[in-house]
This record gives sequence, structure tokens and C-alpha cells, in this order.
Amino acid sequence: MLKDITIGQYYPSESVVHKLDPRLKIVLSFIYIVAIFFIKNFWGFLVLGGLTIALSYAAKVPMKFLLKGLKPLLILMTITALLNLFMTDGEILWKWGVLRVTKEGIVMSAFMLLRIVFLVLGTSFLTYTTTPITLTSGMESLLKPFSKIGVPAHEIAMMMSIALRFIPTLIEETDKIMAAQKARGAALSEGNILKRAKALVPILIPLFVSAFRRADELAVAMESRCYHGGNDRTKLKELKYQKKDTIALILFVGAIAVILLCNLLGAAL
Amino acid sequence: MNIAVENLSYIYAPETPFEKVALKDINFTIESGEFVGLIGHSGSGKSTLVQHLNGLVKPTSGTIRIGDRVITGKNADTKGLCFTVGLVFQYPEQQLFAETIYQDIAFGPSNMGLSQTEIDLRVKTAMELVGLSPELAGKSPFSVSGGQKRRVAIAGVLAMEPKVLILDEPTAGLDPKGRDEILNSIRKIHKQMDMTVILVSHSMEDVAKYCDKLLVLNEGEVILTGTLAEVFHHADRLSEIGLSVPQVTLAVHKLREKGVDIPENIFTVSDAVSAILQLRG
Amino acid sequence: MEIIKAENLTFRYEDSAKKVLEQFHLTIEKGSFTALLGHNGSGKSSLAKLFNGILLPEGGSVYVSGMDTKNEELLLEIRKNCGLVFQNPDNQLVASIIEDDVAFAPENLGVPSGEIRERVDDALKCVGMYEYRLRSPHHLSGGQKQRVAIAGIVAMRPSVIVLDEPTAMLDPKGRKEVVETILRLNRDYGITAILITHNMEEAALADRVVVMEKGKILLDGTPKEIFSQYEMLKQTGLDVPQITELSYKLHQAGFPVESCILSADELVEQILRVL
Repeated sequence: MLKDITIGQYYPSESVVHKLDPRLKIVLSFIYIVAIFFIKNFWGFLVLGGLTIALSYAAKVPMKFLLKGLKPLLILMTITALLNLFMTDGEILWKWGVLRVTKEGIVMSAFMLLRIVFLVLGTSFLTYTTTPITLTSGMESLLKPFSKIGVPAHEIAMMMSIALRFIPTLIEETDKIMAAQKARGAALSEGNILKRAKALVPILIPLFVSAFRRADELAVAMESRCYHGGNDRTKLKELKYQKKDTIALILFVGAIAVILLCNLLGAAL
Repeated sequence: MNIAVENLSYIYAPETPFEKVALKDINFTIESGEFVGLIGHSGSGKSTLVQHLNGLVKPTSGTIRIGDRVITGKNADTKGLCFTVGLVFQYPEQQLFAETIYQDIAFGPSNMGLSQTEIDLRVKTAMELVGLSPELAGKSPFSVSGGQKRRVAIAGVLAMEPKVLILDEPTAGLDPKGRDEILNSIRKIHKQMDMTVILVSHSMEDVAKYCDKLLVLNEGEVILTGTLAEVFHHADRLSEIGLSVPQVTLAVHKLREKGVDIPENIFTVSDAVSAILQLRG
Repeated sequence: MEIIKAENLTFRYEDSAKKVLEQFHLTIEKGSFTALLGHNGSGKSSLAKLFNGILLPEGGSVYVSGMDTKNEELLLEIRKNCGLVFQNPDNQLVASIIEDDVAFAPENLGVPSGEIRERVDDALKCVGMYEYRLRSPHHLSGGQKQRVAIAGIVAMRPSVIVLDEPTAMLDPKGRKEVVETILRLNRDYGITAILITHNMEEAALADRVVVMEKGKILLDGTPKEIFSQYEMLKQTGLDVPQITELSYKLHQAGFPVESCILSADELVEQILRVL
């Protein structure tokens, strides 16, 4: 179940997209997502689809892998499509009891489907091509100007990277605690909701105790390694905005411009 | 209660990129009442193997018999198995959760559906067996020392009165005194409760002192099994996989290589002392 | 030359009346390798944290390379000089990629980017983990994780490294890897090493063994001198190496071998001599 979820995963590859400045990729992803909601006709989606395929090619992330990320969302997508299909008013094409399909409904549900698909593809591109660490330092760097108005940019980034570091550890720990309690006869998946919730206590308490102990030890270890907040810190991997980033920016903005021009095209037709 | 394992194999995460043969064609038997040491490096499959024995992990193939019960295959009889085969995990104090030591130890027995009087009795006996004084019963398990926490956790398994007791590195992280106390308690429990005990350990010195029989695991395979004498006879094989015979046994082997007439089967300091003293008559 | 000096040191935790250390004196020579023994609760771990100013003395002082740990302005300099490695390798690694983790301390110290790269590569080579630099700590064995943690300290270029039971959670292979790394740091890189341990075979490798009990020094000397105090060590709940125990008991029983032998070879040699 958990291993089906590809959103948020990193897809290792040596492509040019992987090597782009993470700040640029964050900004471009944002533009991509916003653009999805400005598209007014299918021409726009056609160009966006072309752009996405081109990106997949450039990033060396196979389309097949990208589409796999949609799998966990199939139910959500089906419900959205059906709701739009049956609930939109307009020119009735087909009717059966209370159910009716309108021309507008078909268009609407196709639109919604496409939006969800591209939303998922667009956001997963960012995580597929950027390691969590680079992503974090990109966000830190983008948020830095806001630290003057009290946004704790460094702290947010630090918290994110520590969370990333400890997620596998805590998952492993949860497995171990569950096994240990099962070895004492704990019934974790029996009975009604109340019983099940109660059965979680022997799992959650040790997990919290351990997480706090880890946090405590980690804090001391970090201090011992001269951690003193974000001031005067340098980076092993400094973010460098390079020529290829500018080229990527121009190409991408160009493609988005074409997509938005499609709106006019649609209006003209 | 005797244990028989036949052709046991376990493949971790089959048909994924993480696929790994964790256990490969394991065969061994343990007789009722034996004290067996299970030795091997981290990642040798020890923990996976012991989790098979109480039904927490199902084998990919092979058969396991605990007493008369077959606990693998289609008609596996695993109901209440964890009460018969008690498993104490590594760093078991990390599983403590209840408000009082009493409640924590009572967790297993209550899951068995025992009566309150029976639970009371079992908690009391278990605390005594591991050397926890009765007045600690009402205290929070998080308020006592590290060594005591570990005893509470072990008592939590003992209170289920299993026929087979498996301990996964019960002395990890303890100081020498804490280590000796825990191991001595386990020896006492083994004798008093007539249990079959499997002690998973890294320390050859410890297993030599407490166990009758050894099982050596390396990369998912049993490479040596038998009595202490049979296993320690293969000192070279052990050192090939980065393990060693106890230091005194090593010294005795060296003496024999130099032609000294001293018995080979010496595994503890006291045996070595008397054997060496006899050399001078 | 002394590199760490604890003078008249008294310490207790805020919420406790019991003194963890009292009137404690200890000096550590530059370039030495000291093993610190004592049962749990003898004050060893607190001492380690007093050495780099994570804890501050209630009375007396601790000096690292002549710097008083109470001087807040020198705190970073002190911690850079005296690195600490802890028991649980998982709880001291901060980053999900090994080279990023090793870079953590130099980043905190504001070392220029190019030099961080150099330090990270050197440190990883020094502990033999360079090939793993792009991996995630999650996929390493305990011994490997602990070596990465040591590399994280080495990257600060410290003069002292204090290791608080670094092998307690490891298997024999992991222990060996870590102990060999410590020996290499001490011998080849001239880093002063202080190893807190319960493992007597490890302690026997040091130049000097200090045994603590109830916040005081009970014994202080070479491994041979210390392990010859068999009875006293047993009384405080400590061990001696098995071979040493054997030689001691033989000696006691009137067998003419030395009472404190550290290696199997030496014992065999002495037994052969009298047969």
C-alpha cells in the first residue's frame, strides 16, 4: 500500500533538470500549477501535455513512472469526474431517472480530470528531480528575504531536513514496538473502533517516549557539533544560479506563454 | 517444549527492489529444557529467525514445530502462540507504556484473559524472578533506572509463563554488573521454571558461561550447531566470519598447538584455572 | 602538555541533590589515549559533557587547551577543539545524506564552501567511509553509522575526541571497526582520544585507564596497573579482560605467572616457560 505512493519520492538520474537550481524549480512548479487553473480550453491542455512530455524526456523520468503516481488518486479522480458529469446543468444528452448527462458536464468533468492529472504530474516533477535536502535548502534560500519580517527560514529548513532524516528511523521503530507488543498478545486489529483506539496506547506511548529521547540526544549532539542557529552558517553545497537555469527559465516561461495564448485561440475559434 | 525447524527460508520483500534472502534453508532442533545460545552478527538473520518461532513472521517456505504444534503452512496453529513462546526483544525497555510497573507487567497476562487473582500472582512471581522488589509495583516504569526498566520488560514476558523463552541480546548496553545480574536471573529462571531458553548474543564469553548448546548464524545460514565443544572446536571457521571463541578457549587452543597436554573443551575461566593447575600436577 | 584539565570540579544536575562529581581532578595529556571506566551512574557521561561545555561546573573549572568552559565567548572554539561522539549513532546524525551530515559542523563554523568539501572528503577517508558519501545513513550498519558520526567530529579538526560508549550498541564487527578507527585517529592523526567504555578489551588498548566511582577517581594508571587490581574492579561492578582474570586466578593459586597479563599470547608464553 505505502510503496504505491510515488508522490514526494525522489527519482535518481543525472539529467539536466535534476541539476537545475532548486529555487528555480520551486518557482517554475508554482507557475506550472497556477497555469493549470488559467487554462480555458483543450488547446491549452494539449500544449501543457506537450510541455510535460518534453520535461519527462529532459528529466529522464519515464512517463510511465510519472503516471504511476496517479494510482493512489484513482478513486478521488473517479468521484470528481462522476460528480461533474452528473451534476452540471446544461444541454441534456442522456437521461435515466434522476441521472442526466449534459454536454457541459462532459466538458467539465474532462477539465477537472485533466487539472488533477497535471497538478499531480507538476508537483511530483519537483520532488522526482530534486533531493529532499536540495529542496529544503532551496526553500530556505527563497524564504530568506522574509526572515526580516520574522519568517524563521533557517529553522523551517532545519526542521524539514531533520524530519526527513528521522522518518525512516521512526517507521522502523514503530514496526519494532508493534512486534514487541504483539509478542505480549496485543490485539491490534480486532474489535470495534474504541477497542482499536485503546490498543494503540501501547504503541503510541513508547513511540513518543522514544521520539522525545531521540530529540533530546540529537539536540545535545547538534550543540556538540557547534550548532548555534542559522547565523554565519555556510553550506557544503551552495546554490548557484547558472546559465542553464536562465535558459530553462526562458524556455519554460515561453511554453507557459503559449499555453495562455491558447485561451485567446479558443476565444477566436 | 521442543522446537524443530526444517528447511526454513525467508525472503524479505519478495519481488521488489529490496528483495533479500534473510534466512536460507535453516534446519535445527532444540530439546525441551535446553539453554541454547544463538550467535551471529547484526544482519545475520538472528532477529528474523526468533520472530519466526513465535509466529510474528511467517516463513516463505519450510516447517516449524513447537511441541506438537505445526506453526507454519496452510493449517498453521498459531493461536496464542506468543504466550507459549515468549519473546523479549532487543532493548525491551523501549516497549514500556503503562502508568505503573504492575500494569505494564500485567499487559501480557491480561491479553491472555486470565482472572485478576491469577494476574496478581503472576506479576508478583515475575517481579521476584527478575529481582524487582515488590514495592516498585506501583511506581512508573519510566521513573526507575535503566537496568530496572529492562527487568520490568523481561518480567512482562515472564508473566505470561511461556514454555519457551527467547531473549534477543538482553544485556546490550548494560554495564558488566548489570549484565551479570540479568544473565544470572535468566539462569535461575531457566532452572526454576523448567523453560527452554534461547539466548541471542554477541558475546562468546557469555554464551560459554550459560548455554549448553550453540547455533551460529551467518548471512542467513546456520553454519555451526551443536554443543559448546562441537562449536568451539571450529575456532578457525568462527574467526573467518569475524567471531571468536572465548579468550580462555583461545589460550587453551594455543597451549595445545605448542604440544601442551590440556583438554580442548575449556570455555570458562574457572575450568581453565583447574586445568592449568593440573598441568603441574 | 596538558590539553584538558578538570580542577576541583563539582557538578550536579539541577533537579537533584546528589553530586555527580565532587572535588574532581583530572588532566589529559596531548596526544594520549585514555580509557574511562566506571559503572553506569559513576559520572562518566556527565564528565564528557563537561569537557565541551554542554554542561557547566557547579564548582571548579574545566579547561580545554587552556580555555575555561565557563567563558561563553569561547564556547564554539571549545566545542570545535573537543568533539563528542555518543552511544546511539542514530541520534547524532542530522542529515539524510552522509556527506551532508559530515559537513554539518564545518557549516556551523562558517567554513568556506570549498574548504568544507575538502574537510568532508578527508574526514570520510579517515574513517574509511568515503565510498558511502552519497548514501543515506538509514542503509548503513551500526558500526558504519558510528564511523560517520566520528567523521562528523573529525571534520571540525578537533584536538580532542571524547567518545561516550561508542561501541555499546554494536556487534563485534562494528566494535572492531570503531575501535580501529579510534586507534588510527590517535596514532596517525595525533588526536587526543578519551574513550568511555564498559568493554575491558577495548580499555586494554589505551595508554592510560582511569576508573571512576561515585564521581571520584578510584584508580588511574596503565592498563596493566589497573587490571592487576582485580578484586577492587570486581567490587565496583567492573570486569577485567578474561585472560587477565585467568592469569590473576592462576597467580593467586600459586601458579608462577604474572598476576596481570593482557593477551592470550603472553599468557601462553609464560605458562610454557614454567612447564
